[in-house]
Amino acid sequence: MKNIRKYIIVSALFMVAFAFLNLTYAQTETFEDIAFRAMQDEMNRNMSELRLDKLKSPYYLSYLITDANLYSIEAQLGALVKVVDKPLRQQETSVMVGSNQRNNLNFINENKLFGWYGGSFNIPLTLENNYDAVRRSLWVETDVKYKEATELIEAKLSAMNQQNIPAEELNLADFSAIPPLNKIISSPKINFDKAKIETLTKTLSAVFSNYPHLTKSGVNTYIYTADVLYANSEAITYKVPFSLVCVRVYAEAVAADGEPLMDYINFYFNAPEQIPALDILNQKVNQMASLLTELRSAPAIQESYSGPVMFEGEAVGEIVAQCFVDNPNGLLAGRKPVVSSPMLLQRYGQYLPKENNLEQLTDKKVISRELSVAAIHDKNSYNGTPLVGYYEIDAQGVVPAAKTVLIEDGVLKRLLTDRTPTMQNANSSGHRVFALSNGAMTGALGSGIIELTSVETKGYAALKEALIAAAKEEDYEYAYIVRKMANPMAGVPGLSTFVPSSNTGIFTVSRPIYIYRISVKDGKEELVRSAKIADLSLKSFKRIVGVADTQEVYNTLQKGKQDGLFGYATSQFSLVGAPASFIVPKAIVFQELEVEKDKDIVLKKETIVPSPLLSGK
Amino acid sequence: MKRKLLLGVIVVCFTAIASYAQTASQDELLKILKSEIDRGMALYQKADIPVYLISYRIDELESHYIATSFGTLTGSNPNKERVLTVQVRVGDKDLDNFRELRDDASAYTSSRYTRINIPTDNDPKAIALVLWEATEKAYRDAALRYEKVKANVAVKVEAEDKAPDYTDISPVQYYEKPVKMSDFKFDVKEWENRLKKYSAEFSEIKDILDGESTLRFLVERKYFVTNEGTSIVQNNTYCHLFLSVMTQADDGMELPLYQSYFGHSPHDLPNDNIMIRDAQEIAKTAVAMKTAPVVDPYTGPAVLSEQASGVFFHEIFGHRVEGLRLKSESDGQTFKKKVDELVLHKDFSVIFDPTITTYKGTPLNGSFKYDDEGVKGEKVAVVDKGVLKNFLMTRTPINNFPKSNGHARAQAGYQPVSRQSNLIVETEKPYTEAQLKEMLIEEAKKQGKEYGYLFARVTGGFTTTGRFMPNSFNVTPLEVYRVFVDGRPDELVRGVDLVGTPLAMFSQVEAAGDRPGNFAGTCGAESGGVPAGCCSPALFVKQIEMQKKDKSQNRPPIMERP
Repeated sequence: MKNIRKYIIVSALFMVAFAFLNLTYAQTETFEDIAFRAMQDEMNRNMSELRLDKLKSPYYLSYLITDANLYSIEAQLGALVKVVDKPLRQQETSVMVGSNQRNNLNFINENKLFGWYGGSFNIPLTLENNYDAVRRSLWVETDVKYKEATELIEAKLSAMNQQNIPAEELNLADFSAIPPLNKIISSPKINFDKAKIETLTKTLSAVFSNYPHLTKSGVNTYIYTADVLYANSEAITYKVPFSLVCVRVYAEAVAADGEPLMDYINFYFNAPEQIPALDILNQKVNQMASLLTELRSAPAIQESYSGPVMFEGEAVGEIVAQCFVDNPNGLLAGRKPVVSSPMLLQRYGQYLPKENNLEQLTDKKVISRELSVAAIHDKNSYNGTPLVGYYEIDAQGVVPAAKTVLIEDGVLKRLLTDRTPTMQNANSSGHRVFALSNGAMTGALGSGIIELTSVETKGYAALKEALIAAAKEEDYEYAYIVRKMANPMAGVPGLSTFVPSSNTGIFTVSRPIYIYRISVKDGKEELVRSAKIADLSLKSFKRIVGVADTQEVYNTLQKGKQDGLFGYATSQFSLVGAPASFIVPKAIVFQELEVEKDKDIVLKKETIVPSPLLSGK
Repeated sequence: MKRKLLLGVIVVCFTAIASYAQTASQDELLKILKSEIDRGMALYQKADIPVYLISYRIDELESHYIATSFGTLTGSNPNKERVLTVQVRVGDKDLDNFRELRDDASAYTSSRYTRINIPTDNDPKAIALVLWEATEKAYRDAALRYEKVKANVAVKVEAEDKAPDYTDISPVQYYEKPVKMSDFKFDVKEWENRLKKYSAEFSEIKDILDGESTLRFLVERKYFVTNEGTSIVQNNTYCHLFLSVMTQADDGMELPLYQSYFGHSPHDLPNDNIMIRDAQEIAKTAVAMKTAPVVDPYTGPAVLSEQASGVFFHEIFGHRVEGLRLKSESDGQTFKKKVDELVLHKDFSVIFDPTITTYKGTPLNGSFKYDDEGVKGEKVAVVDKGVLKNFLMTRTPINNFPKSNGHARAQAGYQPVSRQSNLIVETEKPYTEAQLKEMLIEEAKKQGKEYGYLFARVTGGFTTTGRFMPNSFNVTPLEVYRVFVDGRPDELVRGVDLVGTPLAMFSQVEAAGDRPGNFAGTCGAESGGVPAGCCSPALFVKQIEMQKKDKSQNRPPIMERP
């Protein structure tokens, strides 16, 4: 009897202790611990057991979990419009069937093109520290992705059997190998004063009250902070912090002849404390509003021009971003996919991923020999300016080199790659960068930080003189200076009239927002509008008159390249894209570019009722 | 005595007006809207193509959405915003820019939807600027369309409906004091925990692939101002709670099942015991559905539960008595020329009533005081003892129906059209559930069938009312039983949709039950999603048609749910 009682007491104590241990475990385990444990367990289970009858098991599995918080606030003329403040947890699963040499990637059929793959339900990721819930979300997505991968590999092999694919393409692997990695980069939780951000947003938006000719204006401040947790079946695990702060200021106006005009400033930072003092931002917003107001009465250009053009300030960063990165034949590698039928190419060619033609010019001169381009990863700021394109590990777990030379003395050396090999670039350069899409992190082939340098430089005044001299040589009475080009990913209203349609399949740069005529006689500058640069491309960098001797930083968001066909949808009031930085000369003068009037602009009629800001004035 | 009564009425009116003036005059947003409409109208009415009506509608939306899955929180998001909808009418009431463009491709490129956020702070300058820009855009679109309308009228054959495009109304002033979410003592944490508790009921059942409970509480304050002098500010509140599960049969058929609850505040919702009981019940049914037999196409008798009948009436009848639709030359106009004819069994009456907020003790979600054209919502007896009497009208009249009865409705950002409010089906001769079942069995026997069908639960449906496509409907059942004539127990089945054409189906409705049902749904149509109540007793229908349901070709998940 005593023994039984003792046994009961011991058992009870054991149970209490066990329960206590469980409780302690549950209380101390962070989401990071739980997420990694869930990813690993679900991965192990699926790698060993997931299989459809007679078909292949997955050979590769990866999970990427974003544990984020989004704070965004919008104000117009000093009044609050909307606040969003919410936690976001999302996950992205990738499954591959086959082998690195031949798998389900790099293949397009109708189902892939039209987005027919995918399951009919998903289980949203829990906002709590709940192991089972994380696994449930991963389980559904793994199943869906495995079935898609299985169908794709079978369809791909079948298509390859029916096509005479050149040997060099057949020999090209679908996915490159990388070494294992286990890196946890912890960062302190980013705290910020929401009241202060609200005041900043409202105060900046109130600046426009003093500019009654502007028809629309507003300020959005976004603070996105996340931990990105990743694990794959190749023993690669990492945790990296990601944060992006953007103060987005926009305004619209209409010129006297009805041309719709707009301007914006996107201030990008990595942390809220990097936001400059309010008076500094105030000054910049005032300058922007003032210049846009001035643009209303600037003359529209009428005659075509083919001569020297100088790009200055952020316009340099933007054209480098567009010509070297956005350009499908720029510095981001492109893999020609196997296509299930020629009909897809004929009908939907413009939507399909393509080979990058620039790659064929490896070891050939592609731009001026004075210029070199490199992707750099050894700094997260430049002369005190944060570089938002900086990252330590890319989204596939590759650590990029401190410096990757892309173009040396005008000669193409290599392209930026992720783990998808191309003919000349078999290995990843670590440029599957993190991109924001619908509040979650994803990976996209992007540029990170690009530096364009020149061995021959001039002071700004000398460069301007060189521009004037080159224009004189061409018998022009003036030359052009472009100070701002529209950024297709700016995410502001009114942008559509300044950026080319993305559906044409032909690369064209956006339109200038601010372009000036400079007189060859007296150097006097005149702001003009309605211009487009007809022929600016990477090739234009072959004929350079000169490059400024100081370097500046241009931070932006870019679309990058994805496996998906349509890339990111730009959303008017959301933060979308991959952060990128460009360290570029303050000014570049091109030998010859065509500047002409954009005749596709639909002019607006004068409003029947004057703006309420003008009433009584 | 008569005088006294009259005096009494006058006093009440004066008090109401004084009260309106006192409270409305303190509403900053209302002042801004009126000021900008006056400023705009002074010039727009002198424009080359003059404006005769400008209306501003502001939907001030304060909401909180909570989502849980298998006992864990997946979302809890508050939202506050103001959405502007501008209407500009040019020309005159006989012919304006809203006239249908017949055979015109621009119908496919133009949108009835423009979602414009305005500041939530009552800043006159900031709000006025947004109003001004949106009005100018609406005017340009209106003027462009008006010219097209005139050309269209001149080029095309004479339209069958000769009614003007818009009608006069007496301006209305109505004001309700502001209501905020905080007035409801809505405890977010408490509701997060309650919802987690409900969805946790699905955790232990491995066959359930997806098990959620969600809640959305919306406090809506609607401003409506016109240059005609109408000024309305009214509040509506909606609280929807859903329990939903999904299983999947081995043949790939996905089998969703849900239970929804509606109240005007979270306090109207049932207690935990009921919710948990319901969660367990739908979980059990959903699992049973996995192995239920798949039904082949069928015609024969059926009983529709109260909930299924509400949706059935909403789809096959409700959408066909929406007046604006009947003006369109491309609409099937099923009932347009059947006024004063028997369209339904003589025991049945159908009423649309936005003026009541509950029906036989249950809250209704299709209630409102004034519609989105500023007309007081009226109780409309559309079918009286089987005879068609009326339509749901907006300020756009149709032949013989010149006045609005306050059924112009729209989601924030959409232009309003005729929409249903609270649909109420009533019968003179109610039957018990057992009697309806008896009728079903008798009719099945008569038709030589082994069984009839009982539609216990549906998820919604859709209908096409145009002429180009067959004028048909589809009600999507979730829970269907075979009722055997030989007394065998009812058998749960799966894989069918209830389909048909309206006139044929209506003639088959024979009898109704004695218990009212209430389905609080969101109806989607040209003017977006609007809350619509459907109250109907169960129905016995002599002949229904069922077709195979479109099903997923995906295999169920290969691995067991963790």
